[in-house]
This record gives sequence, structure tokens and C-alpha cells, in this order.
Amino acid sequence: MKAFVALVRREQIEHRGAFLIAPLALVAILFGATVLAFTVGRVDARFSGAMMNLAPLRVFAIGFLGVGFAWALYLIATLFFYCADGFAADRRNNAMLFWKSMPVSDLRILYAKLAATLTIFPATIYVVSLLSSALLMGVAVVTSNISTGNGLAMLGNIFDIYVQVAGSTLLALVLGLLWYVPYMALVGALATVVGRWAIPLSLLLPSLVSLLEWVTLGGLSPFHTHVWNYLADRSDFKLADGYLENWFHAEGTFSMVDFGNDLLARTDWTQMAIGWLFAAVVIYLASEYRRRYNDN
Amino acid sequence: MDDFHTGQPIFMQIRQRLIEMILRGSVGEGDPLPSVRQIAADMAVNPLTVTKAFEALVDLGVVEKRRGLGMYVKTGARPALLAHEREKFLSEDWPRIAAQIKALELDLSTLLTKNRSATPGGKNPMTEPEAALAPIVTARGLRKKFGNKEILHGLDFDIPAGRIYGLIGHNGAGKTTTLNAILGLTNCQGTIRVLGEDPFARRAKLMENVAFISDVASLPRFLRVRELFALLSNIHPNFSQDKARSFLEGTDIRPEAKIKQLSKGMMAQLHLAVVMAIDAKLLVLDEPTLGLDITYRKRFYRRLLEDYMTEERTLLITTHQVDEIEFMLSDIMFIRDGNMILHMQMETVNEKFAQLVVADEQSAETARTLKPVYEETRFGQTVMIFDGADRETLQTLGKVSTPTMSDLFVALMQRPTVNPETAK
Repeated sequence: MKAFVALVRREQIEHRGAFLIAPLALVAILFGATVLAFTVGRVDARFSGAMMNLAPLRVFAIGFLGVGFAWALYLIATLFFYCADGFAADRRNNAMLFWKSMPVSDLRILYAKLAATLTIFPATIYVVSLLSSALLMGVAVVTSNISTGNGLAMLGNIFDIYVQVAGSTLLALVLGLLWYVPYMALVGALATVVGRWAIPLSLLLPSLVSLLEWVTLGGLSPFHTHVWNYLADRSDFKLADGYLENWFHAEGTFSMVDFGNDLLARTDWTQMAIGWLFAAVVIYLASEYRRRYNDN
Repeated sequence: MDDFHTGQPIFMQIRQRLIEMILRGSVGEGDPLPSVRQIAADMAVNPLTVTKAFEALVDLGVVEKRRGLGMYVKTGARPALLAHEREKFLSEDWPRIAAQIKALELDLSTLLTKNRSATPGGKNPMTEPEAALAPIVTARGLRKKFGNKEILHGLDFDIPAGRIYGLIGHNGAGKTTTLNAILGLTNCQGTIRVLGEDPFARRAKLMENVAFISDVASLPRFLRVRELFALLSNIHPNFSQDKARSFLEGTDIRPEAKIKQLSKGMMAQLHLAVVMAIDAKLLVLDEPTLGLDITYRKRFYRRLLEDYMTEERTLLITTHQVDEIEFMLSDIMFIRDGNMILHMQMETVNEKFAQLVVADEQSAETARTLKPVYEETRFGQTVMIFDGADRETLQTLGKVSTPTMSDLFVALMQRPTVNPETAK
């Protein structure tokens, strides 16, 4: 276990640029830009503060959810590129034989890479998203205070919303990662074999399989086959449906418990289990390839 | 021959005896050491082997060569040797002994009583079981195909423990494929066992006791030296961070240095420090000094020999710079087109092969009747290499010497198998 954790840590060190330094730099830039915007009068603190006092808790909840969504998009993009690049990194870095001189199997190394995509990388981005939301909250409270003098009085309620949204984001993040594991594993396995060509190949592969089905078994078009429909359905995490959609169209405060119960109830656990099994198989196959081909 | 054990190259055993002579005071500082010829005759070994032992002592800085006079013990040699041997004992022998004492649950009083009752001057009983150890590597009928082309044609060989093996061959001869088979990096037909395990099936487990350098540039470049050591401490159960740091003392490599910013020579030093800090039974080096300048190459091999090699460890090296490693080898394997054409101890090579330089054509003609395995002309002189010819006969024809490893390599690579029996 100690070796496995060290291998995950190795991934963190190698990719800290994308998963730690760049996000922190982005937060610093956005925060600096916000402060500068208020300082030079580009945004009126009194006006924006007054806006937040119209429906304060709702504005904060939407703001926090928006920040979480933005960071989720960043995470999806970086994880995709990590899987396409990181799984082939030992070969690209000319370090394949060094890691093969260590008493760890290829399977273990690839599972450590997959574990990094599910743990340390998302966790770092999640913490950065919390930091972003906290800074957003700080700016909002200060501007509200300047405008109406009520900012500090609302702090307790705002913090409650912050916690509700943070908890919900965490649950959505965990379930989303578990849901998309087979995709990450597939991209990683392809990268083990073909390196960075995994990027176009992973996008092309579903179309090719669907085309093959259309040619051999028929159908309206390559985009109306069983494979295509299944993949389209399997790719949809359905986060925005249910509670979230209803909350947007109705009154009321955001509830972490209601959001969580709804999301858990709408999760297709069978498909999730199938996805995990698929991930385990493709990573095993990739490790067998890696075991046989040592090209640096 | 003297009672040498098989667990360590003979020149290292001679070196150790010379060290013991100095430590015991049999030879004082400033005194001459016995001549190469005398020791060679007394111990019934090749003079080259004794010379190697002396060179090792010169490198340690305790013996100096006085031109025309011989080898002398330098002033300050005894304290320096004492410190060196103490350090070696404490860092290499004592941890093993201490672990054994603990495992056997022996207490101090038992050990002291036993020590008092021990017969002084008795032989070390450890050497016999060590000599009986099974080979570190065993290969039988080792074959490897890439597509339709067979690269290895059924190699058979054993590598015993405590030896320093040189695996020499042309580009494409099958050296790296053989090493890859030993390291479990490729699947081959036939049987290969390393430390009793199938290397391809059990590579991860095997790497606990096998270390290798395949390419000095293969260190992970994104890490700092400190981060590399910290990771290896957790990944490799036999890696010692303290040892690695001590090996880097005296170099320009700092723990905070980024590996990608190190020069090629520094990277080689770092990689060597990493593998030497692994308590492995087998160390495999595949062209470890490729691209390094002569200073780094010499330093690399000296370090390896002085700080790493013990009788429990086996070293397997491939390189094209054969003359640079010749001094440290105990055994040699020549591989040509996937066949093992020579597999011998260096002592035997020195006895078996002879090089004759003749100046006149008449002597050359006579020499040709003795069937040299190789002949060439250098600066108007004829140079021949003989396999198993009588040296006294050759001496009547010209100047006889032992061929260097590179001369022997050139000679044997151009003819059929030299000794198919010993190659098995």
C-alpha cells in the first residue's frame, strides 16, 4: 500500500502544473481582476452590493454552483488530457526502464495512475473551487456591506449556503468521477498503447464502432445505432435534472440533503458497476501490453 | 592454486589479504610489498590478477608504485585502511550480522563466551556454504524471435554468485535481448531463472533483489533529487535513502537539484547512487556509461567496485568499451549473432589465449603452422592470437603477451565458436 500511495504521489508531482499551480494561478488572476475592477470603478460596489441584497441567498447559491460548475469543466478537460498523456508519460519521459527496475508491476503502476485521476487530482481542484467560492463570498459580503451595511449580518446565512453547496458539489464530484471511470480508463489504456494519439482515437473510436454496427447490422444512420444510443445515454451523468432543475424554477433555499437524496436515487448503479468492470479489464489489458513492450 | 573461495573475484581476495597484511603490521608503512611475480608464484595465479589487486590498493591511496623498485606501502596507509575497513564493516557486514544475531535470539554473554572459546586462526566456516550457493542466473535453451527473425539461438549459461561478468558483443548480437530476458522485460522460449524465479512472470518481486541501469538518461526528469529518494524509500523495500545521500557526498549533486537540469555525467552519478543504495543481489548494467567522458567512466567503475561489490553481489555489465572494464571482470561472455561463443573465467582466458607479435616473415610462417585464430598486420609487424598454444614455443618466434579483451573480441568475432563446451 505504501508503494501504491508513493506511485500516486509521483503522479501528483509530475502533473502539479495542471492540477495545482495553474488552478491557483487562475484563482489569483481572477481575484486580482475582481479587486482591480472594483478599485478602478469598472464595477460599482454599491450597485453590485445592492443586487445581492435583492435575493441574497439565492444569488450566493447560484454563484457558488456556478463556480463549482466552472471548475468541474476545468477538471474534465485536465483529466481527459492527463489520461491521454499521463498513461504514456513514462515512455515519453524516457523513464520506462527506470520504473521497470522498481519492484512494482505494470498493472499496479497503471492502477496508480487511474487512482490519481479519481483521488488526488479531483481533490486538489475541489479545494481550489472551495477557495474560489470563499473569495467570491468575501467580495460579495464586502460589496453588500458597502451598499447596504447588511453584508456582515448576512454572513451566517451565506456561510450556510456555502456549506450546502460545497457538500453537494463534493457528492456530485464523487458520483461523477465514479460514473465516468470507464471513459478515463479507456483513454488511459489507449494512451498506454498509442501515446498522445489517444486524444483523437478516443473521440473517433465510438464513431467507428457505431459506423461498423450501421454497416453490418443496418439502422437509420451511424448516429442511430444501438452502440451510439448506449454511449450517448452512458455519457450523460444527468446532474442538472431532478432536484437542481426544480430548484432553479421554484422558490426556496438550496438543500444539500435533498440534492444528495435525489442524485443518489437517480444514479444507475448497475451501469456504474458495469463501467467499473470495463475499466478494470481495459487497464489490465493495457498493463499486459506495457509488460511486453519496454520501448522508452 | 591457493585456497580462494568462489564467492569473490580472486584479485579482490588478494587485495583483501594485502590489506590484512598491512593492518596486522606484517608490512610497515614505507616498506616494500612482495613483488607481483612472487605473489603470483606463491599463490599460483596469473600475474595480471595480482597487478589488478595492486591497482585497487593504489586507487585506495595506500600503496604507491616506485618506478623500477616496485610497490610500497604509503605513509598513513594503516590508519586510512583501518578507517576504510571499519566503515565497510559497520555499513555492510554489521547490519547483516546484527540481523542474524537478532533472528537467532543470541544474547551478548553467549556471544562473548563463544568468542573466548573459539580457536584462533581457524578457517571461516561461512565460505563453504557461500560457495555452495546456487547460480544467480540459469539459462537453458534461451530463444527469442522478433517476427520471423530469431535473435537468440538457444543460449545455455549459468552465472554464479559474487562474480563480475562482462557480456560483450557487436551491435545487434543479442546482448540487450539477453539482459532483457534476465530482467523479465521480455518473454523468451526456453528456461531462464534468476534467483530461482521466472523473471518475466515475477518481475516485480524479482526487482526487490535485482537492480539495473539500462540507460543513464532514464531517471524521471520531472523530479528533484530529494523527491526521487523519498519516493524510492516508499516504493523499494531495499532502498536506503541514507546510503544514496552518502554516495552523493563529494559530488556537485544537491538534494534540491532538478534531475532535468543535471549534466549527463551527474545523472550517471545519481543513477549509480540510486542502484548502489539498493541492497540487491544482482546488478545489471547495460551500457551504463554511454556518452560519458573518460573521467566519469573511470570514476563510475571505480566507485562501483570499491563501494558496492561484495561477495554476496553479482554484477553483469555490457559495454562496447571493453578495455575499460577488463580490470574488474572475473568472467567474460562473448555473444555473436545470438550465440554464446565464449564463456570463461578471466583467469582461464589469460591462460588459454596468447598474442604473438613477429617482425620477420619466416617466423610468421612458422607461427601460422600453429594455427592462430586471428592474424593482422600492425605497423609492419604480424600480430597473431592463439587459442591454447604453448607459450614457450611461441616465445621462440616473437614477443608473447596476453591479448587485451578488445583484441580478443575482434579475433573471436570473426571465426566459429571457440569453445562450445565451455560456453555451455
